[in-house]
Amino acid sequence: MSILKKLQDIVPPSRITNDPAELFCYSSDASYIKATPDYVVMPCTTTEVSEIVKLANNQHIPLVPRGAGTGLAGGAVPLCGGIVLDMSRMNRLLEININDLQVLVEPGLIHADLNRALEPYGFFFPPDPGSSEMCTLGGFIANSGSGMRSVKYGTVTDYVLDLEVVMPNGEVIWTGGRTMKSASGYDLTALMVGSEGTLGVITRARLKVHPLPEARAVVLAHFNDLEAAGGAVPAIMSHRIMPSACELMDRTTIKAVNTYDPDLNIPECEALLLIEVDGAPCSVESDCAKVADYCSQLGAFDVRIASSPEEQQEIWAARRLAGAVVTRLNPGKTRVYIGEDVAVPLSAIPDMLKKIRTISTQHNIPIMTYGHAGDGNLHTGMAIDTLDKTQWELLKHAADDIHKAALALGGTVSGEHGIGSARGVYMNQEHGKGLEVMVSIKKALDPHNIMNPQKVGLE
Amino acid sequence: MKEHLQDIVKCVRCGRCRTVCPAQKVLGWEFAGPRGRMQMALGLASGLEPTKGMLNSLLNCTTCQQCVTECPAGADPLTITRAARHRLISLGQIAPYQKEMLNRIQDTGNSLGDKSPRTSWASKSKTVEQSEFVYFAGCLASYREKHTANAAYRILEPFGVCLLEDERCCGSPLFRLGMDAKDLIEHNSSQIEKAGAHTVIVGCAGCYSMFKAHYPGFNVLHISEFLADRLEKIPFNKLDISVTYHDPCHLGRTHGIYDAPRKIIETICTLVEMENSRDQANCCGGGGGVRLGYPELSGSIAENLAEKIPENIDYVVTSCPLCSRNLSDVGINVLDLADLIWRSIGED
Repeated sequence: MSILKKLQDIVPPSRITNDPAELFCYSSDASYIKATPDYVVMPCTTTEVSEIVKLANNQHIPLVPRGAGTGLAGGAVPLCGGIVLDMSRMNRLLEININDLQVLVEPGLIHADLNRALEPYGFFFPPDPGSSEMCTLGGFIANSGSGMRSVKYGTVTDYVLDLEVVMPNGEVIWTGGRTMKSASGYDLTALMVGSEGTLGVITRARLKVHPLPEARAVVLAHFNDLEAAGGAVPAIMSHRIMPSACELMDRTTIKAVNTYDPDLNIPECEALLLIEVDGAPCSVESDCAKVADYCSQLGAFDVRIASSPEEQQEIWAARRLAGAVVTRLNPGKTRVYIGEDVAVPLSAIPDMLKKIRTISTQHNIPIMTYGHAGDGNLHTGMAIDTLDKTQWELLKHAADDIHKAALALGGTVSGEHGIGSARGVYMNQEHGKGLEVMVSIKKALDPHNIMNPQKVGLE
Repeated sequence: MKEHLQDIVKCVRCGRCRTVCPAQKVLGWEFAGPRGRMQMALGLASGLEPTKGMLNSLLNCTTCQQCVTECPAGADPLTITRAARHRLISLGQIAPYQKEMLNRIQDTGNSLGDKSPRTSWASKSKTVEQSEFVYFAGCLASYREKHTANAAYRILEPFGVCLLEDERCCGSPLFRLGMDAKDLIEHNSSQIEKAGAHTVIVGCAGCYSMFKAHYPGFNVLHISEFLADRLEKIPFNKLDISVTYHDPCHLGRTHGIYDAPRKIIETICTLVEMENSRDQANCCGGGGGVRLGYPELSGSIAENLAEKIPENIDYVVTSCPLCSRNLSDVGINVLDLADLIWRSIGED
């Protein structure tokens, strides 16, 4: 019996495709990595996922789970062909349990939809990716995502209590529990977070939620020196203030964001720091004043405070899309996500910013820099004529230098986007023998190597 | 498609359009949304063989333009989709309903294939033969929403607005489906010139968009724009009803006409805004040929819009007969703006 026929025994034909053009649409995510699957299946239940995984395991067919395909490292690209599981139809919010501070979701639920559902309860799910409006929670968890509020609230791993996972043999397990904490055995939940679909398919997630702060305000501090802005971040924190977000934007990013939303009208300067504080209104007011004062002392030439929710929303909406809006700056060039997610220790931010500038000069390629200065996660953006092969070479060399510079500063090649296949080559350098342990885990759980093969530098 | 490559690769595949595309919301698949259609266009430009799936993907678009509005990278999936539809036709890939639309228009001059007289909606014979202003009723109002065409002309006639001697389809259905509308544009243009008009007043969002983009040399106004500037000359009576307003995609998002219809409605009755309005308005599901080619999808999109309608309102008012029909078909109580005005004036 053909694979197609066997798949049709598990899900209705309307939720399977092997049309070559339709498959072509699943050949990329938001990264530059490309490969086409043989089938795409859209499961609706854990049982369906389990049966498909069993089939793939028996027939040794590669299987790649995919959410909204917003990943930036090729994690959802089927490098060895096989079956792509489009999980976006499993998108129900199954339970909001405020008494236990948790929700139960299916993996295809859009991140922002969860926060919209929680708002009436006065709660939120704090990890806050730029792709909030389009990424699925399953992909977010599988890639160990975070975002702008990680500086205070942590990353997604701090909010996952329990996962239902279809293991590579098709068995269904739960990794954690409903309690706020657990010291019971190996932390399988943490193992699955960031595993990028290499160890199983997440089919449900129990997530911790947090009360919404009473008030928020954003300080906009404009600097004429990029490194000075980068250095201001630990200095602010050393004054016993923990911002709920601390974002850095360089000159090019500011220009791009202004182009996208001219109403923002951010003054042209070398760097803008966006520092959000949250909490009780009186403490927000006092912290804001202190942050503004420190920024001035640290070299900011213009400081203002956005206290209305509308103004803050507009600023964050533009910042969230900064990565893509850079494409608007030059009609002939497109932003390519490569070397875009390094993170370094906080004290090394100014050095990393300097390195990026040098790399930009050496390769004669403009590099925009923005990101989560509060947790050392710097995003770089390069735009090229993607139809020009020589520019691709230049781009790859510059990205390689950025990755190596971050590692030399004690950093990581990915703060929050994941390894996928775009950054696998750096795993040995970053993890040494730790990578061997990862490989052993992968082999033990997925002996036939069906789950998202050739990812995370495991092969 | 190669000439469009630079515009296709402008898409950074961030996925922002996935969650705003009305077709993708219903169908779910990657290829049912703008990013998928951009990928299909890339495939076409790179030699990928057309398939049934490609044809469906490109024809599932209602041309609502929300992907264009939301795209952070400034890409234009709508223009690319239209070009890809055109390319598929040139490769001989044409859906039966596209052929049917072409035949209807070629045979009868209207998108319904209706052989009855186009102005049978008129409750009295026209009194103005020539004018600077001409009312272009459009196919749907002329043949399926005759009360709307009649109301619109009765409201406009006192302002000295005339009708065309031989109005034909504006060409929008052909253009949106990737076909050529040159003959229709030439015919209607010569008719407008013959009437001595410099301004075309339309009651349909699709016609409006077509005239604005493809009928050079004429001033084009939606009926709401024309009347909003002349409110003091219209004998309105207040109506004790509450309505919400549905922004037609080709009037609102495409051309930014949001205030004129609202100004008129608020003169007549209470307006309660929908959850999503203006440039965030939901699509009715009828545009881009989807109502004809994919009625089930079209109905599901309309049902998604129905969920956003405020409670305790009497009507959803809109200013496009296609929106009216598509929303009525899923049980929504719809009133065209012209019908609302006519009801307020209280004649007939």
